[in-house]
Amino acid sequence: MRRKSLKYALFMQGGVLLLLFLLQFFLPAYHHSSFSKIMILASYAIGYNFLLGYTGLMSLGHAMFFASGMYSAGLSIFYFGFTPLEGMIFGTLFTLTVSLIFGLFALRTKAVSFLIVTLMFGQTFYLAILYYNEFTYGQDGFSLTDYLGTLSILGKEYLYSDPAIRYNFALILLASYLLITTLIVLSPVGRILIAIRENEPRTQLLGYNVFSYKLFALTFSGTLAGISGAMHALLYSYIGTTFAEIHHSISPLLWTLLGGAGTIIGPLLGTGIMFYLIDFISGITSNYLLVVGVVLVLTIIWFPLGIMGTIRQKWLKWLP
Amino acid sequence: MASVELLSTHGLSRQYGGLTAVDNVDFNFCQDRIQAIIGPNGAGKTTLVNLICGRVPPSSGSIIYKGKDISKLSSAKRVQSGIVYTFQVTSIFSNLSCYENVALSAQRSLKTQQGKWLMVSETVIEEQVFESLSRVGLQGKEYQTAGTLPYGHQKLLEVAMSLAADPELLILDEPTQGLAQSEIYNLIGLVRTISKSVNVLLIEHNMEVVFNLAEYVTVMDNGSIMTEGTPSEIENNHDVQVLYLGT
Repeated sequence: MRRKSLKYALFMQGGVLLLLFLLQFFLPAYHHSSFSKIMILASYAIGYNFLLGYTGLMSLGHAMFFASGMYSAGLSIFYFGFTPLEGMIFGTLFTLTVSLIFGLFALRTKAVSFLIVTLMFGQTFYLAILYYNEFTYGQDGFSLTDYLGTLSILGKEYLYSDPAIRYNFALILLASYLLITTLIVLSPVGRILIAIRENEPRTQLLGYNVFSYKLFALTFSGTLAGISGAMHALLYSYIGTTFAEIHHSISPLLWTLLGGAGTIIGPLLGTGIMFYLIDFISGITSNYLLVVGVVLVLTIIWFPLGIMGTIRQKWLKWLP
Repeated sequence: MASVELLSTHGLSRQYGGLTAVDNVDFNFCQDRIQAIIGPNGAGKTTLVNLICGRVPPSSGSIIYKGKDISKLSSAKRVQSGIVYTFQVTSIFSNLSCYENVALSAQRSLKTQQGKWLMVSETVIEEQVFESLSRVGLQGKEYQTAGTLPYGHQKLLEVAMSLAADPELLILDEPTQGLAQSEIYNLIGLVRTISKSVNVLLIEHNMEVVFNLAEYVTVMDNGSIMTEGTPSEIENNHDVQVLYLGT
């Protein structure tokens, strides 16, 4: 069953990625740029889903991880003159440390208390960025345009913000997230995480140290979010507090629920749909958050499993 | 018979508020025999086994397993050392398949055997899962969702999970509760087979099952041990008759 799941899932994901790769040659400029953005945000959601969908831990503070990757990469490039690659590595390690330490505290709580602790840490992080505005440039944020230099590929120089670079970097990020989460979810470790989601006390009584598995899931999920944030900083050359706000924590929750929590490909679908829906609504009204709220409520009432979750339940049993 | 002591408790107590559920209990479990704990509702049987497998911490006293004090170990650590508990009310992963349920247990025991950092291959897990499921008679149900099994089969699945955990001491908490008579006979046979390779501690209400299986019986009442002995000694014990029949 697992081998079949793995084979089918990799085929399906490979197909989706190939399609996305080919689409870049046909998409009009506007949608080309939307797709780049969707792929980065979907990677963030895939990391979020690892915690929510596969371990059963709901966080409302993931913007903290996204922003900590973004800010640590950005600030290190801005102040220390790190190269983009060094910035990415620093951002990854920094977020890994932040999520590990955060997990050691937050995982002492469960369920709703955990949710509230994540929310509070997330807000504290956000306010700290505003408070230390001499260093972080607070609400205005800062630009990396003059610090990134160019990327040389096969003897040609490209800007990081070049549309083709953006699209393909986002695609590589997405592809690696899909692959690594699929492999973990279908491994013995993934089986334990799902067991924790399904019945935590029983998992403990099967002889597993539940805390350390949850800590792994949280650290891994947080680090994925941080790498997405660092990548976002490079490709968009801008670092700002909007990415640390509460609403940036709620977004991946919504994308995941809509696409299907506990399905690998669901968050990508959810992110894409919400992105275009908001894009469309913004043309009609400035109050697009109202629509976000309505979609969330309707999803929970009629599609508690999300789109891919429902598809799995009805047709594709093997879907990881 | 010079039996070797596998597990013993010393002055073990557990209070819930003002209620003493387990009161200063010295309980011994000897190797290579089926032992049973009986007693009326609220006698403290389940609390005693909960203390033994670490689901609740003791208020005082100690638990010695294979010569080591395990009172401070987490429940997970105790499972790893071979004390495996089967739930009174089934606690399976009802949304997962039978295969996954047993695999979770098998994977842990294989990992403990192979050493901490080795990944266990799915082929080895699979072998163990199929073996455990067929031992309890659930072969062919591998890919059925556990929650959709009839209750009797869920109980058997619990037993399969426990077997896959490679137990040294298997604690069966009211295994026949809620089962039909034919299923009970089936289970008695199963427990007898299991007991050839595993030490079994049985918590049971059903006297027929106890006297059929157990080689040594401990009677609990009001949180303490009332008497102990072979099944025939217990059957003829006047106090036990009073306790159960009220005469």
